[in-house]
Amino acid sequence: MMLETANTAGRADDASRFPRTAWSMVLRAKTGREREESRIALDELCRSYWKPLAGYVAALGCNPGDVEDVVQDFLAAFLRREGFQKAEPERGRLRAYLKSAIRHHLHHWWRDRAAQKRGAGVAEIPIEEVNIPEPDGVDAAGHFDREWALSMLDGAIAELRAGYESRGRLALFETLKPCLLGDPAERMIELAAQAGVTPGALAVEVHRARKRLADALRDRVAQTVEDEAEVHGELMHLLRCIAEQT
Amino acid sequence: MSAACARCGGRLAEIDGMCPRCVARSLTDFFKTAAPTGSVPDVEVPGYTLGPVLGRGGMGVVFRAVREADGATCAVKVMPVRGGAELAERFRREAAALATLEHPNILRVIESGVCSDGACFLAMEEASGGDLARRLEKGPLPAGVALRLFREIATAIGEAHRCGVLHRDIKPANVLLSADGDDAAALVADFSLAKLLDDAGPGHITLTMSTQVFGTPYYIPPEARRGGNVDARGDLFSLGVLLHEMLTGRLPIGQYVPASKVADVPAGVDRLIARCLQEDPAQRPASTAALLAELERALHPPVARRIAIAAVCAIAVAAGLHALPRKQSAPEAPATGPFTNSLGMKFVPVPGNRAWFSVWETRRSDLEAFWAARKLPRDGAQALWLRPPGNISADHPANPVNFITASDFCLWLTEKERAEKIIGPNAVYRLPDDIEWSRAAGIGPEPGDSPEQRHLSGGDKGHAFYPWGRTWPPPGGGIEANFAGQESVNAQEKLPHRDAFPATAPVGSFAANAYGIHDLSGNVSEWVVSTWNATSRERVLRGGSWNQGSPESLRLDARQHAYPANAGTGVGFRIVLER
Repeated sequence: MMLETANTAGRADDASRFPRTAWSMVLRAKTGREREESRIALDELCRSYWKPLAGYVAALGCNPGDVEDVVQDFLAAFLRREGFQKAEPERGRLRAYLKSAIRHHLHHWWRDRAAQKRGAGVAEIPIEEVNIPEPDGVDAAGHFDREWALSMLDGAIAELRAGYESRGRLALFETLKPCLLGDPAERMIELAAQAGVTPGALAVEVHRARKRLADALRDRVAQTVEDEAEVHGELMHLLRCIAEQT
Repeated sequence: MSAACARCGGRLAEIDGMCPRCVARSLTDFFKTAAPTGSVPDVEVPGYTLGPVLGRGGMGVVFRAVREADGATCAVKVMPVRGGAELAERFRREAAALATLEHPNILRVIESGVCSDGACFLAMEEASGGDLARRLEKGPLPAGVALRLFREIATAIGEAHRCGVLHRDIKPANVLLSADGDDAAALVADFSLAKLLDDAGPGHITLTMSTQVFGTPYYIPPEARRGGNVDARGDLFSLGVLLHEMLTGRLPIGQYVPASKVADVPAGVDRLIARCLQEDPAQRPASTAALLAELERALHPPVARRIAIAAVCAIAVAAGLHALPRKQSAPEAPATGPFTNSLGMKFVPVPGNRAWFSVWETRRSDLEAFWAARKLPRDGAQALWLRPPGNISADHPANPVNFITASDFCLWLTEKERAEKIIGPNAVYRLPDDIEWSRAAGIGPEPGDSPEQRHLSGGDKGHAFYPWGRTWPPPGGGIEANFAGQESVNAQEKLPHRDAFPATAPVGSFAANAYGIHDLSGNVSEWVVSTWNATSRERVLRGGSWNQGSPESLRLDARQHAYPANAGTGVGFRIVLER
């Protein structure tokens, strides 16, 4: 089995490459063109996190048959509203904002439904008023964060797989997957023997793969926070959400 | 609900066949240990104020720290081990035991405990010179510095062994330096942590968490890789790897270049390293004390042995001079010492033989000169010659070579050097005969009129069967010849030993015999001019080769035979000069 050379596998580890993320674009867009660009970016972003949103709505007590409608309505309202342009930089993380916003949206949805006004239009979501308490005894917020983290991880792993596939190295990816789980060195020696490569060569490739996965996850997280200083904290929070789940 | 993960017991749905919880834990450790040097920690250690990251290793991150009780600076290593109260208590007990190790070359452990996030930590004295791994990134150490540091490291390991503590993870990253520069002392760190962390269970620690650990698997002794019991001799394996890397900057993997070819150390150091790397722990030096004693012997051979070799050579020279007619002596050739010809081949006299023996098997560089001069095509028959097993240098023996080519080489070299007046007009290069070869190997008269009869005569003939004597296995476990041991890849039969050469070795890699001749035993089998018997057309091969691995094939009085046009792998030749 051929392993990749360093120059094909390396990725610049440049701390200054923090992208102008969708969320920071949303928060800072001033002109009409910037707003349109940010709306498109946000659209893609929100669709990526449909599952955590749906899970959260369900955990908050929404009828399973209504979950899809609630999330769909929410995203439509969320994406067309003008409130973001008034947002301050300290609005923080997309995850936290969406969590509060959809909770507020659900509150309105229930209220409108109770008043039998469904279909009469979706209420504006004033972002200053999204801090509504969760129902007692429901760890819906924890569930939301975990689903959010799993969506991030799922996307990063898919990106890692796609990278190996595009380079024709899918078999190598399958070989080293157990090492991404933290298997000890003895297991790596065994896997290297199975793959017909030296343990050292496999160790190098595992390190590259783990770094690529970490980079992919970090980039995804970076898209949802406002500035680089928040990335590490958000990353560790999300990983804790998964790692501490029993 | 998903099935429970066998590693962590979590029940999250798998992503691409992987447990998300295990991946998240692995990535958490990655992000923590990948924190760049100089960055600020995001963990709290009770009693210490952590400063910037000093370094990273397979076992965790090391921070510069200040002890809050007295303001003393130290280093704190935070390790991603989380196993609850029981493991934490065990960790504390073992760390306390490590704190009792007192030696000038062992890094002192001050305290241990558990961090705010449940990870274990060790507070240690700070070593301002960084670790040896970082130093080796700049290249190999000067031989004198490497040997001094190695003695310090081995002495420290020996002291720990004396106290009943194994290291289990000797590698450059775990050797710290007391200061910058070549005068720094070695400080061995992280005793026993490898076992402690292994015992924490899978997933808690991996040897691939950081860039420091590439190649670490090569430091793991074979018995540990197999999951067997590891004793002090496991540390001796790692010490052998460490010595080689310190001298050469490279790990002894596959067809590695012996340290003596890279650093200013004698070939005896290569043999000592090869002994440490033996697959079978019983074949390694018995202790660090034995290892250090062998190292000193390799660096400074006993005076008596050197005198003995010189005396034998002097006698041989005298005998050879007596046997040689004066008119055959080439005027350019020294009469009393080794003669070096135009290709750099060296020849020494052998008592009882008219011809002087090449001290080396004929090298690739020698035969390349012949090929070039004869402008012979590189046809299919030479494919194996052009692509022999292993990484081959000009100093490796020519292999494979058939009898015809070997004889032709002798004719060409004779004509060339006669024309250049390097040898006299009557001097001849040729292959030795069977009896001459035996004399060069120290074998006296053998019963039988033909090589076949001498081979079959067997029994006790009074001479040494092996380079070291008459006993099998060799005393001390080392074989001073290149045969097929555990390092060989393709050999069908392997000895339980290990040497540094999976295929051929550069000529002269192993010790010479009393006449100054190398590799009569092993490396490549050597054609001699004699036929197998009176009626056979087959020629005789002597000395065994790198791809043979039985005690019988090692015997100096053993013979093989083959047709002249045949050239199997492991067959080369040595020439003699009849002056």
